[in-house]
Amino acid sequence: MNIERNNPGQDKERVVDEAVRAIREVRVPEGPPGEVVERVLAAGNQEQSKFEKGRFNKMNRIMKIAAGILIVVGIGGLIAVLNPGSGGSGVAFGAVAQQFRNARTVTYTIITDTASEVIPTMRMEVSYKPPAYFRMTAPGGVVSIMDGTQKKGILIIHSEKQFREMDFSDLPQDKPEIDSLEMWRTLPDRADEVLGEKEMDGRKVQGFRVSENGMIGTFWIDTKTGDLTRVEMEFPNAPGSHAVMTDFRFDLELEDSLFSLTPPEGYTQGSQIDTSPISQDDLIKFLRWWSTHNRDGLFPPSLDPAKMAEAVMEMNRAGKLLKDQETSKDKTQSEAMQATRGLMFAMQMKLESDWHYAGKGVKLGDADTAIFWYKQEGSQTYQVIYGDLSIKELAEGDLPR
Amino acid sequence: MTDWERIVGRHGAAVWQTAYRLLGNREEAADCYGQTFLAAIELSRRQKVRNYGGLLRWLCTCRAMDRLRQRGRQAGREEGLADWSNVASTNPGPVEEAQAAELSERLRGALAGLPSREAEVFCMRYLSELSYRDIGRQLGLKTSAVGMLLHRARGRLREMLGQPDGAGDAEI
Repeated sequence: MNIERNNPGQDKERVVDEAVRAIREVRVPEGPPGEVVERVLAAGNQEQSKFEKGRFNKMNRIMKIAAGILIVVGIGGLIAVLNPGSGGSGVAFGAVAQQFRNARTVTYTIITDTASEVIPTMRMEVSYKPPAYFRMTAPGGVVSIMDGTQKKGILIIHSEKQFREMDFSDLPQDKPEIDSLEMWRTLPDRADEVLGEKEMDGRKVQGFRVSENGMIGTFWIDTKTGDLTRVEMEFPNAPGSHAVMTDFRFDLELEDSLFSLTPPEGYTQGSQIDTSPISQDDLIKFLRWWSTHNRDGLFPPSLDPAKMAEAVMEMNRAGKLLKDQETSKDKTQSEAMQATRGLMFAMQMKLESDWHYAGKGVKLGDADTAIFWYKQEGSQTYQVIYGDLSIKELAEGDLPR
Repeated sequence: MTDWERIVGRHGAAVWQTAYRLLGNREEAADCYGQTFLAAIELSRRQKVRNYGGLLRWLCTCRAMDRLRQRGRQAGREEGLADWSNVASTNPGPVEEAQAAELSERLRGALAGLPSREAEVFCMRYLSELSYRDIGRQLGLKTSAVGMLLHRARGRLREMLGQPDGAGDAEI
């Protein structure tokens, strides 16, 4: 780094570049100190939590419902995709399934998103621990814990200091939903489709696709290590909505207290969560609720949560939403769960069910207009729901055009 | 929703590098790093941030420049004239290394003497290696204006650095 001083004009030109080079070549030590990074992250997390809570609280009731749907969709989709499948090829994919079978614990992050800006992106942390424990932390201080050994669960809403219990004891024995890690262990050994290779975060990964229950899961696996790096879930029944799972970690030590069903001290109990199997009745209840909560008495324009959320915003702007005279957090939560269950009925429909929704612009009470129809599994006829919410069973040739 | 963990993970190293290069001191760089992110968090409350990478480098540069000016004022009070060449190098070593450290300190001192916008543009271009377009977007300037500020900054730095050690810092 010699700065010659023989030619002042030339030196002046060069000295800036030399100084820049000198400063750029400064050996930067490891850093910053861990406590500084921790302070920054703590401030960031606090901000994020405030933002999420604020945003969640600012949503009106129907928006909360729509947001809640995505959380359920995240879990529901996972269950649907990871249940036993069939066909195809893919040795590496089988190895990942084996990895889950052998895992003591599994943790990962799930981020849900929709095509709508109205519904915020949500990030959730999920943990499984044998023999059948599940925990999910969602935005707004919402924690769901399920214990498959007791067939019970708890939903804790820290921001409201409230908890709600879940009871799965009535579920059929063969239902894997609450046998947490088991549902991962039933990951199909073979994918429906083997995709090509690509670079992802500096790693070469290969894709495998599994389609189940109207949902599509794409698994990206590190070709070198065989590690699962990313799972992308799409929901053809709700175009644009998707969930991405990353940060898979196996065999972490997870404290039993994380899966405790004991509510925090001082929290109040809300009504119990309905965990019975989702049915057509749930959809009907949701359709009735929606059409009696807007001034025009119309059914929702779509059963896609993202489009539904956009419609709510539009209706709100136009002053068309009806608000209950009396409402409570408990009532709102019950309605949110009901709406979630109703929409889940449509979301989880298999493509073979040939389901259709035609409720846009139809008013409650219109007995001549079919608003929803689908073919039940193993049946040749269709269940048809009309605008008065009556149900008929029709042959394919008798369906509305 | 802003995922600060991801932002810190992605841009933290660049912020740290910028802070340390400009300040040449671990303790001050750590302070600058923390202040930069806290300022970004504060800013994100008020407005939607499209480019965290650019914003953080700019905030870091501004914080570091504030610190350099403060150093200059303190040195001025204590010694009458700031003599950046006398700032002790943290990396004593071979002659070339010592010369580089000295030159780095002289540049830091000279940067503290530039008009703030010129200093910011210069640092973002030559230390953070942002493009004219990215600098312009961050500061709300046209690329031509960025070029003009850089040209002026280089001219002033030429004058300051071309003078005998310490003499160029007399205005600080």
